[in-house]
Amino acid sequence: MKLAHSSTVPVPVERVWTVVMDVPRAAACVPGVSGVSGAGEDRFRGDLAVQVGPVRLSFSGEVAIVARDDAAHRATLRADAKEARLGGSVHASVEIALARAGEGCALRIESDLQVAGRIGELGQPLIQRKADQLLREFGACLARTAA
Amino acid sequence: MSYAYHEPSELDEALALLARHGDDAHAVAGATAFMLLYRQGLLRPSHVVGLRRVRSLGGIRDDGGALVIGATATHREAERSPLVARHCAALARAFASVATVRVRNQATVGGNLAHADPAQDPPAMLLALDAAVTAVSPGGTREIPLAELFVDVLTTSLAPGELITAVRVPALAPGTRAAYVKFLPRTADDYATVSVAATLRRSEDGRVADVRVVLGAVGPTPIRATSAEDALRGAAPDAARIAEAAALARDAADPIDDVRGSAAYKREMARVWTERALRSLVA
Amino acid sequence: MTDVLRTPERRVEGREKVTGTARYAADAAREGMLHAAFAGSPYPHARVLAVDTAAARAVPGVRAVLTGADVRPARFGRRLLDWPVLAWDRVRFIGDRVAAVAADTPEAAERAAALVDVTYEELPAVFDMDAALAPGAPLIHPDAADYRMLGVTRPPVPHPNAQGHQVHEHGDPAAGFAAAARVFEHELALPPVHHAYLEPRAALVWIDGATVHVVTTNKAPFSLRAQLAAVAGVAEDAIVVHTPHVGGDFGGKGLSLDEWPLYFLARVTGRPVRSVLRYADELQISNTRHGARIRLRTGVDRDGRITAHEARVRFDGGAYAAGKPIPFLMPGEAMATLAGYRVPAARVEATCAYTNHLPAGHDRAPGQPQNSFAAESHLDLIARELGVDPLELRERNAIRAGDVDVHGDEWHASEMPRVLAELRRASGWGRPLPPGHGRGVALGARHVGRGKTSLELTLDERGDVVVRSGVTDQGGGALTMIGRVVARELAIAPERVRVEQVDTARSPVDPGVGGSRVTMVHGNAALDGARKLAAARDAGAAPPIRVVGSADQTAHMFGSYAYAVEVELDRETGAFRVVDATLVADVGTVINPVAVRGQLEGGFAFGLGQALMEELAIVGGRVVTASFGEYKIPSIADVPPLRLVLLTDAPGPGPFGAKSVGELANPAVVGAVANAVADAGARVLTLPISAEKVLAALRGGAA
Repeated sequence: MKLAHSSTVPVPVERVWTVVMDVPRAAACVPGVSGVSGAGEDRFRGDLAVQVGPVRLSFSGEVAIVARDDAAHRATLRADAKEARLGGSVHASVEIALARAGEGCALRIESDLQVAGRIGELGQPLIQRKADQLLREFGACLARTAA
Repeated sequence: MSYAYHEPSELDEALALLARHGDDAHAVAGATAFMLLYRQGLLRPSHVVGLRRVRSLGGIRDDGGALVIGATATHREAERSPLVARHCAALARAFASVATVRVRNQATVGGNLAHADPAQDPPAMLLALDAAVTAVSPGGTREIPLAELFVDVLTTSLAPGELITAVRVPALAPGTRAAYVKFLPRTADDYATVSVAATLRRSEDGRVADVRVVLGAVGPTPIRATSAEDALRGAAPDAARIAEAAALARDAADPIDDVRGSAAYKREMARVWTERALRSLVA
Repeated sequence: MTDVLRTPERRVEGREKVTGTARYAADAAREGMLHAAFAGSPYPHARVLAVDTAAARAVPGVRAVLTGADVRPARFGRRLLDWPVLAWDRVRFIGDRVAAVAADTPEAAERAAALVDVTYEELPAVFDMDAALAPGAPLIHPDAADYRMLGVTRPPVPHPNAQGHQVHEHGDPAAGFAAAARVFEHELALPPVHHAYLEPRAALVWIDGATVHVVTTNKAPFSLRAQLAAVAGVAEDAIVVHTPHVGGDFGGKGLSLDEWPLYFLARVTGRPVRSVLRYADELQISNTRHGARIRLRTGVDRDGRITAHEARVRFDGGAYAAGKPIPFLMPGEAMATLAGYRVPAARVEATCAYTNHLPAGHDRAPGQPQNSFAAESHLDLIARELGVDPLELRERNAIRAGDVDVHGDEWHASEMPRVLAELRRASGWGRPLPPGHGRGVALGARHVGRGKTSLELTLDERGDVVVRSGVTDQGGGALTMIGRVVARELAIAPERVRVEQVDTARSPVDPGVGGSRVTMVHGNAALDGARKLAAARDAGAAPPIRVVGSADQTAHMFGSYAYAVEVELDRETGAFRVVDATLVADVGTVINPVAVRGQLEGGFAFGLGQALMEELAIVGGRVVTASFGEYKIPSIADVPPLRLVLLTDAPGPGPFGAKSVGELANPAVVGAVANAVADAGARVLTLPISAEKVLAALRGGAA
């Protein structure tokens, strides 16, 4: 499923870019993330606890920066995580693009999310709403952190 | 079953069990929603706290014009209660619209609200009636208006270990009419493709003095279509005005594509059924 | 004594079932029993690179964890053994199993299964049947040449992604089309649907010395025994299959899923191992009705009489052909594109494709609802184009004695004209309808069951009879029917015949339930046995008299039927309901009056579900309707009254002139409903006929 989030932050592009590319710092903006540590060049390991309605999920996985263009302020991240309580995994390709917007910065995040295994049985309504919410909160938190 | 089942007869005992076991505990009353998730393997608590024996949570009563429905009253009790019918026939109808009689004999009013399924029938109707739940935790008791109870799909603002004890429906202003309509193109026991709960009161000149329109099954929570309400309030509710309000309800809907239809279709159905509900209130 | 057949039957297993004492496979238990759970693929198509079971093995209570490496090269199937017991190199649909766990509790097994860590490499997946059959499509079974086929040689296929392929031609289609006044062409499509039986699959397997015991929900125990012998490499007589009550089948339970890994788990642990399939898995991994896309082209003369017919039928077979028992590896009626009509010339081509969807298999009248929906919609469109009343067009084309059908077979007798005449009368065809209503007609024909079996009958001193049969009663009333046939022939009360379903060690080989077979085959075997008992008794033999009754039913004959339905349509929402329905069915002599009515009314409800709402919705290979909250079927509140007219005076080849009814009445419902909705203003060419599609058609969009 495809998800998108856009927002404008009253902070210069360069500053937002620095926060976004500091993965442990940016990851802290996703509610429920913990224990993020480096796992090689442009690779990071961490855990994510999510409550989807009454169902608690705990993911552990990796985020990798697979492409970045510092001049254009664009990057592609790939996240792969496994869920061991119910069984399943999520895979996300995340495109982040920043652009100047007057004095501030326009932030756009697009994500293509695949949910596999038993957790997929939670159903699309639940998963999509939850993923949307996480993305929204992530975007809002990035803006706050940069500001 | 892999969990320990507790069935306390006192509320304090139930709250203590939930506090003691924290995330490992799950409270149930009729357990209809719980069993679906459990059998599918999506919920695996170590402790389940059954509330059916807590007598103070049951019953339906009139409290100075307000209707108070205990959390463990079943849907069937509510749909057949003369008190509920006298208070608001549309509310009785909303309870009677849930699933099948077998489910309604088991599922409870409080459990339904705590489950926070936006496609269920009572939440939309109770929100239209401006109801509030009473919630209790070891820290004390509070009232939560339904507009603040539902946060997201299957998600409420109840704190961990906090329980709904009753739902309170305030007295309706004299002359208020209420409607609950549910669009079921597949089966009688399906979840709604869209549902509309509405209340409407007209002043002596025939204009709309007060109106509430709530859409079910087309968003993460029941959605109050305030723009539709604003379009009607103070106006003469003729066909054109109702059509205008219904169009605004379509825009208020926030559905997703699923087997019950595309988002666009559900929005259009929100319009059609809002128009039908409102027409029935001014007929 | 009054004729036994004239009294409504009392089900022999009825009391047990309604009092809750009936025991099913999921109730079977043995001391020391372990519970199984499985890890399935999250990908529709992927290579299995590595399977790490360390974390799974570390779960307390886990006794064994098996992977593809432990079972290789075991594959299973009813005819073609193409489905790995556990995948070792490749997974082909979401849910394809890669590991099996046996543990002390179901929860421990499930927890361990979630911890099996598999490394996959995703492969390109194919979901569309035409894309799968295109040149250069990704191959789903590169090793197909090595697959074993039970009993026969696999017929050739035109593409490595084809499971099966059939072509039929008779008459001179080119000349028929050239002679036609008009030629019409339409394409229709149907999604896969599930049987939605109440009881999920369950099995218990244990090994006692050299004997393998299986308690199962499989409705064809001897076939399961033969398959297990092939998979496990043991002799058939070293396997005993016990089938208790089966809680609904509708064709789906001929395919076993869990028995194969359970066998390996039982072997490695030395303990009995049981599993009960989650219903969510029933809906995600098991044996659906085939989705299909069907293009029909038909030429008619000036009066609307068919001159030639051409059909191209595509079935979505999913990842494995294992669920299909017939050698062509196609749904049984894949070629019956104009069933019940006179077709002087035809060319029909049908192909079943491998895709990365869950495997399809048999479901009540396999292939017929698909072809019936296409044909009956097609003919209705033709009638409207020609300005001929749809029932009249059918009357002109209905098959009569001496005519040739779509298969090129001549019918020696046909009840179809009578069925349609009776339908016209009983449904009040032509009476004016209220505004917003529409009326539709569809007909159908299905061959009666064929096959052979034997069963054992014993007459005791009191004149009572015990019948032992290997047949399973999946709810159809097989055991009751056998008892009534024997009682009638011996002129005794049905209560004096006890019919026992026995395991495979205590019964002659039996073909099981399916193919509308039981009343024709087992009924005739019971009649044969009863006659032998009577002959021995009359010849003065001393009780107990033991005989074997046998039957080999080879007669090819059809049952005919037709529906008229009326719908009421809400033009603002597209929602509609069936408000009136008439079914006329040619059923021959009735043995079980209650069950016959139940089969026909149930078939109507079954078809109604397929017409109105049923769809295993699959998105990117994942079934998104994995519960009955999403996958809706009609309940009794949704089924309108059905006016049922039985024609019983044209005898069939069953006992006392019976014909088959189990799969007679469900296929044509979809066409009748579609035609009624079209009559009300909205032609929908794909199932299910959802309110949204109807509204789109009403507004002139595509449906």
